[in-house]
Amino acid sequence: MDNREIKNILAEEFLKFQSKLNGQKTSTINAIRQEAFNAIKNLELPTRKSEAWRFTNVSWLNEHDFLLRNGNPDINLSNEDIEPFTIKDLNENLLVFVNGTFSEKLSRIKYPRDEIIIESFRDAEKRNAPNLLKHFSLLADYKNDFFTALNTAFAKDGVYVNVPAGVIIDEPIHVMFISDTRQGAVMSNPRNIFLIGKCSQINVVETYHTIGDNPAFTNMVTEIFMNFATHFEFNKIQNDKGNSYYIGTTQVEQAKNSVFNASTITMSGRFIRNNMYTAFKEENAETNLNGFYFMRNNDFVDNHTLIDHAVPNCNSNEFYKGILDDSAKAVFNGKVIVRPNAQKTNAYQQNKNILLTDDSKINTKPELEIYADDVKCSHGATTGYLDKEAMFYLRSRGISEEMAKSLLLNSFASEVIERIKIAELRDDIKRQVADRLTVDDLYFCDVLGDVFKAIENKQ
Amino acid sequence: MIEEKDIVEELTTTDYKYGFYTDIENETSSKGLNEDVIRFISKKKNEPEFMLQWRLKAYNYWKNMKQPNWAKLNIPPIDYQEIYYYAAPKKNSKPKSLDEVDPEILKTFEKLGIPLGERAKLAGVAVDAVMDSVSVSTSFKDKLGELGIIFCSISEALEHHPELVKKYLGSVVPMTDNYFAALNSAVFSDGSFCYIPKGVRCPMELSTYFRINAKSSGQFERTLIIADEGSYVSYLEGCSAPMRDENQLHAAVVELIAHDNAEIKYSTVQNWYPGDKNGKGGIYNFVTKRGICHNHSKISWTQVETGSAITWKYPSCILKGDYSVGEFYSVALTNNYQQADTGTKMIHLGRNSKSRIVSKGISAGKSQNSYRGLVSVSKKAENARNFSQCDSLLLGDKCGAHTFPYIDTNNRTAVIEHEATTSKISDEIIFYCNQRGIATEDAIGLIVNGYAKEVLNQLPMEFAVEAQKLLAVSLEGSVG
Repeated sequence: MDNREIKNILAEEFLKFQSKLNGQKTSTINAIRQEAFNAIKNLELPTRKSEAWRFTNVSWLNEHDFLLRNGNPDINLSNEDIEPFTIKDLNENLLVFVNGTFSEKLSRIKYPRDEIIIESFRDAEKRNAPNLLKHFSLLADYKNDFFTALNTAFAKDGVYVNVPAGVIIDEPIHVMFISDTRQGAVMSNPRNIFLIGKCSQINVVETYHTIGDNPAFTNMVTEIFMNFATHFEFNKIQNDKGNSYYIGTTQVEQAKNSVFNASTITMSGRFIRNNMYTAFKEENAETNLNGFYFMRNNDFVDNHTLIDHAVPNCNSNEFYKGILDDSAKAVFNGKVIVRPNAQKTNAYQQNKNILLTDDSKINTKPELEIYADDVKCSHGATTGYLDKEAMFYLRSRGISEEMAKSLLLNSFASEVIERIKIAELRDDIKRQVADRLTVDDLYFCDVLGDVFKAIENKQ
Repeated sequence: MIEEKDIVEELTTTDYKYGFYTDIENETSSKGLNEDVIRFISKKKNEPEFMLQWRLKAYNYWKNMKQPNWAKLNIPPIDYQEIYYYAAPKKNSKPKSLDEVDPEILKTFEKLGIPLGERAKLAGVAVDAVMDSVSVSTSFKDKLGELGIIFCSISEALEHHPELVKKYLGSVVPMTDNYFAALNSAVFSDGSFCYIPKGVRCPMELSTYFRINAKSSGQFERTLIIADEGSYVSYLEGCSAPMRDENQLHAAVVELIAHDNAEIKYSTVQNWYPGDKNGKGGIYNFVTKRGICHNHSKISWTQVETGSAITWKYPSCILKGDYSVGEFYSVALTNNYQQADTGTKMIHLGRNSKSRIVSKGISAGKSQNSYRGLVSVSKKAENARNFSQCDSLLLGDKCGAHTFPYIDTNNRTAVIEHEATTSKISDEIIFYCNQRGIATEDAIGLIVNGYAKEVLNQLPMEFAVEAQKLLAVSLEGSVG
């Protein structure tokens, strides 16, 4: 399928989509949808010739006819269906989206609407929520990015959170995106907006799941607006089936004294592309981007991050680690821009990888673009196999090679996983990693991790 | 310390020391590029037929190519039909001794401080000096000849050793490699050729000076160095060009071939005219440099880049052989409106191949300085090892320092480490120096030299001194 055919299909689909909209047709949001659709006409599906997609092939979009699958077949899921996807012991606000549409039946929102707005994008649009209209697509670059434009043109549902000033939300907001492919392949375009009022705190967990054996494609855009002294814990947990495809763009705008912490954990998925873009709008803000990917089989993960130091006195920290097994492939592209006058910037970037087989592959590119002089920026990238000395240490103490390998990988992973702030979630991820590595004794692993950290520090 | 002071003094009074223009009549090809011009160049140089065909083939490739725009450079449009592709000093009967060399040219070299004739012997350097396009003087040929070393211009090599040229030319940088390499392949005027026979250790540093002289004649150098099994050679290349307002195009190609157990050390001090303080004029330097390493061989690139308005240069190593070693040491300094996008590629194909990258970028004024590098480990390159360190130093808040490292790993036994930092000279260090009676400008000179020392140490002695001076010269006016 070439670009023209893609555009013809999209034109038809867009007409269909528009005809299903009722009262929302004249809203400002729909005007932006139209704009985004017009932008698609001039955009091409990214190929490997463009720098941002150099190692990332999206030809599967055609193979599975995803563009024709933007529907929402009648689906009836029960609480039992989503039971396996919940996080153990987590006291949460649960929002469930099935094929991109909010399911009120499956969701559990604990806060009354008049205090904290946690609702679906669709509901917010219906009632013309003023803040939604004001902020929709302020950050998303729907004019230049194909997939953002696609999402914007077809945006109809997602999470809308509007936290007033001075509220600390203890229970995490768990957003579950489910693709039910039992009736065929599915594409969904969830659109999320988070508005955090001054001095408020919020924890968000996003998980992705596929039911059925057909392929699913989730094309998501999330916009996060952080006010003065806000605190945002953002956790993306990607442990989906082998035939799920995901492209997600998260755009964050940070005001003074705000702190944005993100953990992106990717355990499986046929194709995953995470775009994480944060921009400092005011001084003294901080961003910490953590990532861990552990891919097997033929899976593919691509983490693109961009931290835009547009103003002085901001800190950013980026820490991504990955383990690649079988014929898994990973791409890491971290970019830090320090704009003119953004003095006293501190920006650190790390990417560490372990390849377990000769068929696995990693392409990493930690970039720095610096236009100010009074800055401290550094980046590092390593690729390697397991540390021979650490291996010997364990082997000489009678631990089998398999076990030693598992223990070392587990401690490699824990450095990132430990940074997850929600304890229940952290334990859950630890369990998942340990299960995959067939490590029984988590406690032993933790102790061992500490030992190696101590050795490293001594060196 | 006194010397440091002299340097700074010198800089503040001189703008571009090597900016002068020698008035020598030129014999030029007609303006622009077409098949006739290529035939003219080939005929002028009495080239064998295969060379002409090779050039024409390259030209036909080039015609269908587009100038690359992926680098972080702002390149003004270049009109390739406005350039003279061939200019040679008119007295083109080949000189047999120094007396026959045009005195004007000799004067030029004197100003540049090239050891030629007597001075060449004292300095122990064999210079194959190239002015514009035709090699005008060659020294130490006899001494090298005794060892079987061939060191001459490419034109001479085509005349006397066509089989070697035919075998190796384009074998590392094929004519289709990139836009500028194709252009060079079509129109290259002259350059150096060097062949070190099996097991011979070249007793002296071989060096060549390239200069751009004739008005608006782009210079297209082609260098080919072959180190046969078990041999060693150290090659120096130095550049400086007359001050000129128009932009001049320079698209060189350098190919190195290191056979089993051979070692090639290639050092460059590049000081083309960088343009004036307002970014007017200056040389466009688009260079393709690449070497291939066979088993147990080593190629080491060392470069000090201070000149050119635009630098586009990535000296690379293809580590084809097992246990082969590639090294890249670079200091790139940009000032005023200079732009540099430079770095290296280390392609690990052989088992146990190793590479090391040390890049030091210094940006001052309103310049943009980028490091762009690739470390790639193929599936079969077991136990490949790479270490890269790319540091950037910013002087002033109007300049930019950028790092674009690409690391592609396909083998689990490979160990790749990349490290980069960006910083400025801290106030504490300056204060420390001031306290001890060292003026700020001197202090910066000291610190920059110390910062670049790791790379400068790799240069041969005479070059290291020159390079230190160059760093200071190029930084002139950036303090304050």
